[in-house]
Amino acid sequence: MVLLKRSPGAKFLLLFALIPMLILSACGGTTGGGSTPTPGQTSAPTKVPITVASKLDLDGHLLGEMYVLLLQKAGYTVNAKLASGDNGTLFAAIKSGSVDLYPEFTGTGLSLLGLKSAYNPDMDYQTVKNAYEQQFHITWLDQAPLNDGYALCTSKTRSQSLGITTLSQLAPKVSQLTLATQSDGLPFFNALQSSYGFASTNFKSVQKVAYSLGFAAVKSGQADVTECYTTDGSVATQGFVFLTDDKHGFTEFHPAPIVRDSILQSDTGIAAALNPMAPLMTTDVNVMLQMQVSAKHMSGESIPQAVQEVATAWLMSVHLL
Amino acid sequence: MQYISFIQDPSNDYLGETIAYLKLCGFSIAAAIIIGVLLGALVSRNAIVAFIAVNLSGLIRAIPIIAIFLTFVPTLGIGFKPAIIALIILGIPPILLNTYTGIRGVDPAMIDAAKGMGMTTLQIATRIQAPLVTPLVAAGIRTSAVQIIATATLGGFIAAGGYGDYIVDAINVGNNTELIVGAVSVAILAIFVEVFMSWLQSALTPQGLKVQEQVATAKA
Repeated sequence: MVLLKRSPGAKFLLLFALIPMLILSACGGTTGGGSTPTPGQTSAPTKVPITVASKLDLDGHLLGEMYVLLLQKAGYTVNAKLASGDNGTLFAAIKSGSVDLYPEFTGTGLSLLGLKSAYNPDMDYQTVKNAYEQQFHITWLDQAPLNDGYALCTSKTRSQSLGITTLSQLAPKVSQLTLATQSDGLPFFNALQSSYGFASTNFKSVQKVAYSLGFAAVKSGQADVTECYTTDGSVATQGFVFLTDDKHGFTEFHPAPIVRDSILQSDTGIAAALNPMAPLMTTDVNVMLQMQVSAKHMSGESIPQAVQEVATAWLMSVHLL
Repeated sequence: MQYISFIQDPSNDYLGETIAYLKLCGFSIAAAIIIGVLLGALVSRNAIVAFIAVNLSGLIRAIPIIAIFLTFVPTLGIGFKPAIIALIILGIPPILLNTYTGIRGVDPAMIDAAKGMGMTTLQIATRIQAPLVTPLVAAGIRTSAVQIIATATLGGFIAAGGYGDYIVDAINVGNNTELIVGAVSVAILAIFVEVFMSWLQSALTPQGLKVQEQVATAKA
């Protein structure tokens, strides 16, 4: 100890030597982790902490909240970062390891990797599953029947004045109409070429705006048709209608939890905790849950609060919680 | 490399977006200069009005710009118009403040001397005040121009066109090449304008003032 007082160099060396000893002592703790601890145990949980994120849209937020609840029920320590980023940000975050798990959609996965859709939900799921595994060591758990995809909408009044309710009816009139859309929808509208014979470039003009401004543009007459998402409850409440995709020209978007392999492999319980939910999450259930959240939000609750209540109630109703 | 091929790809319309961005910024800067200088000159005549104007300018600079952009969408719709209005509002404060400070900074003794020589108000304005105020106003325009160029990217959210389209699209889709092309294009334009304005400011400063500055720095 006298050595420490005399020479700062020696102090530094001693600290330096302590650090590897601390790390080695921490590593020794997992040998007792073979048995799954019961929730009432006083000993520290041996399951790894998981960072769960979700995108900003309500759909993703609900799914993320459900993953958090299911993982917590299974005994995991969850670091929840819900509604924290968009497509690009979360993709970068999971690749870099700052996020471990989040709900991703098959169609979005294809788009982020620049892969083509086969317009077949099962084939698309396999394509992204393989690609993410090979390129990024990220696993796609089971997908849900919910389809949260792109669609074209217009106001009820505009639909009546144009006399169109389906995309096939829209096709011949496209050159006289203005499309308002966020740029994320453009590749999908361009892909309608093969089924309906028109792309975004065939419109009289395309206004690139943030998603909600598209609806405002149609209402004010600056646009005729706007991008919308198939689970967006506000379409109905704003007096808008979906133009029916009668020839199935749109890619489907089915959600699944995507998780980094290193986290997944450290504990098989993660897949077991989340997969039971997958077959129960249908489009109708999702739209209903989103509307419940909106209703709670209208009566004064914050969105995170409403999401947690709705998610908990539904998981309990299907006996997963 | 991929940035060059992005620019050359006709479906990205680099030339069209450049022209749209130049229009957006150019129009906003020009309008901000005219309104800023006029307002700055007007408010310098009355201390109370000046106080209100100066503090209001400061307040506007504190409001997040995207809020200003979106405020005008319900009334003006989407596209060029709301973007221009928001950018002009953003660009006025530095010019107004500098014009006001410049005019206030003119030594009253000089104005008295000019009146004593028999100069009319117009002659005082053009021959005494203008040359003294111009360097400061040019500095204000420089600040304002660079701010407008950097902020016009928000137009990508409201269909205003320009490099903002690249940046917003890149964020949505995760295309890094597009993001770099958009951001670097804006940066190059901003640097170009900054250098040009710096030269202009120097060119507009009367010889006498420059000598004064040099003497002051030499003594220090």
